[in-house]
Amino acid sequence: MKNIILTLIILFTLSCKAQSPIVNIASDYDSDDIVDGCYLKDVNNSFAPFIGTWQWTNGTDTLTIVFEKVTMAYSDLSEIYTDELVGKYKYVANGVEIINTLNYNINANNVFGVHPTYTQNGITPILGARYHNENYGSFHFRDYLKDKSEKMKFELLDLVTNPPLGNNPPTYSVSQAKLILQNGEHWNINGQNPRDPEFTIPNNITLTKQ
Amino acid sequence: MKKQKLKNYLKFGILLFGISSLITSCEKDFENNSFNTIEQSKFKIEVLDYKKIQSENNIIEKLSSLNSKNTKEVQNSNTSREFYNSNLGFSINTDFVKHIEDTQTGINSYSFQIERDTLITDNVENLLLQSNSQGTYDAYILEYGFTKEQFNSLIDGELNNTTVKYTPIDFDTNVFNNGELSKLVAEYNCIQVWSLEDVTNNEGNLVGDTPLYTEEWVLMAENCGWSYYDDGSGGGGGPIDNDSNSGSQGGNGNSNNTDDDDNGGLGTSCRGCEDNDPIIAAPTINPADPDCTKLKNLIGKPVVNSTNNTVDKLLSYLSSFTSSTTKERGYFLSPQDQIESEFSAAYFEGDENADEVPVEIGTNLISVLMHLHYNKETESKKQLSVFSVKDIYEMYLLIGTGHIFSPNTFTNFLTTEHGTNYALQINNSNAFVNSDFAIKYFTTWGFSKTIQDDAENLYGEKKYNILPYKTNGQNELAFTKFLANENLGLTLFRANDDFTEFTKIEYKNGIFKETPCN
Repeated sequence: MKNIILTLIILFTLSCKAQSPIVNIASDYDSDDIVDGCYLKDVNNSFAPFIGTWQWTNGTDTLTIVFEKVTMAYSDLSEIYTDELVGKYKYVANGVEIINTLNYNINANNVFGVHPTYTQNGITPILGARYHNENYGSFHFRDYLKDKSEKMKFELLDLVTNPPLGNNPPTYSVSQAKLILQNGEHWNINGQNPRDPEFTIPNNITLTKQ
Repeated sequence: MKKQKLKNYLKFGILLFGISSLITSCEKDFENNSFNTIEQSKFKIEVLDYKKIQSENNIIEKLSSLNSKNTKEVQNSNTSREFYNSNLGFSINTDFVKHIEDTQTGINSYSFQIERDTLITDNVENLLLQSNSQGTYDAYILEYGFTKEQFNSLIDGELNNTTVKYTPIDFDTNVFNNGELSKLVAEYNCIQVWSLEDVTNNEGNLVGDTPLYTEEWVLMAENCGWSYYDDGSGGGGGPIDNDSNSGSQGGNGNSNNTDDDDNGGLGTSCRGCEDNDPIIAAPTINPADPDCTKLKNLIGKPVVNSTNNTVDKLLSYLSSFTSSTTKERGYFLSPQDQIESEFSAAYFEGDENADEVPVEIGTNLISVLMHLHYNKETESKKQLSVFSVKDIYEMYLLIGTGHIFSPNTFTNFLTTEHGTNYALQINNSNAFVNSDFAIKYFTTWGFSKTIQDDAENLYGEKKYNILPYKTNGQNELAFTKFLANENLGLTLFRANDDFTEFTKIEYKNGIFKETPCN
């Protein structure tokens, strides 16, 4: 009897989950497709070419960005599930570490959470937004030291996609990417909401995959 | 003695004068009375609003059958102000309905202005529900032979030279679906007579100088029936049969000319019409859109401290910078009096390439805000062709901080380097500040960048796709969807280059709708 009840509970849970419509996160979907409880999924493994460690070096200045994938994270606000491409970064200028977020443990439970120190900002240093095609992604860049969150573009410059062999997924080779940080429109009424237009890390640079 | 005689003469003279005065004044009264006498029409015409029409069960039932079964938005057809049919491609609003009754025969009809998804004619179109002998209502589309503007400037007698197109419709067995009308082989014709009637004025309260009577055009259409035309394939053309309702019904081969009573007990459709009663109708044109009127009144108002001395000129001036500027610019307008009859303008601008909109409002109150979205040529487009979610949040913030003079008359203008110009009105400030979206995102916006990022995601990349690289049309559609889905109580208008003409744009019943503010 216990087993029957357990089975029914499992089946019920699975059936609920199965009701979440899956939308390909890398597709040009319509707003009508995004309904409460839907799952924006990395169906085609579009995140794969981004994942890994990227580095830019100029003398004693170094910027390191590490991308990883977080699967099926739920946002209480937008009430949807998403696969997220998240990034962490470390910047060393003149041999001095300016900021290092590489040790942050980002997972499906905290990816949309608040930073414990910079409490106005999110804990995920670079949070994915949209993957326009295989080689171009939009992100929110959390600049903790400038107390702002602005737009970041990360463009894979030399992506080569190898067609799938048998049942294996396609493989990728990429070595270089361009990083562009952009300030969005920002209102400052009566001087109460100032913003530093500069960024902590270097901008308009080319990184190499390690 | 002489004195007595004189007295008598005087008395007689006064008497004569009195009698003649009485006669003269009575004559005048008679003349005036005969001049003011109005032969009251046999027609009674009433303008009904949403509340009044709600009590007309027959009409509401008939209109409910008009509502699309496949309309995306779930509507309670018994309470909605608007009835929409996607197959017929139009909606009607129950806020302004004309009811006409022939007081001698009891025949009556209700007229509703039709609003098309896509404009197919400039002529006025009404949905007419006409009483029939079964105690229900027949439905017609009447396309009058005049535009709204022509109707408003009519002179006596002109209407008899116009032609009315009658299209009997059956909501449930939609004639457009079975192709009767699309074949254009049948026309429903009537002999029509227009008359200008003096009817009791029932609009508003009769106070002060409100006239007791008003003039209304009334259409009487008799001897209605189908005329059949060759569809051209066999040559010839022209009418081959006229199946009037006074004559026999049906009998025309492959035509669908039968008396349909297949509409589920909601009354017969008049596709043949057993009734000999004439169609009576009073052309119905919705009053000007109040949002448009509000906007058109605003743009011509003086700006007292600017060489661009009206709101539209100042907007046009700001717009001229969109392609050359590398900094944020804008103006806010403060009212000079309690009725916002004129404004003073304050200019604001940000630093070069800083993308910051610094606005020193101080303790001023604002009636109008206007700013631009620029893009640096050296970068890919990054500012939007429509309002950003931050622009909308700032409206919320300004209401919350008490900087908006009157939230229900506030207008936010935008001009962009993409070549787009818009006006965004708050038409329901309570709906705006209490919307789910505002409560979810705007209440904590200032304290959390994660909230801002999530709102930006929803607005942009993850749901509505309002993005810099999208086309102007795509962003416009997406923005109207956003306003509609999130029920923000905001009304959007597209403006022409010099902000002198506006088109109300909205997403309604799953359809993108454009209504010029004529």
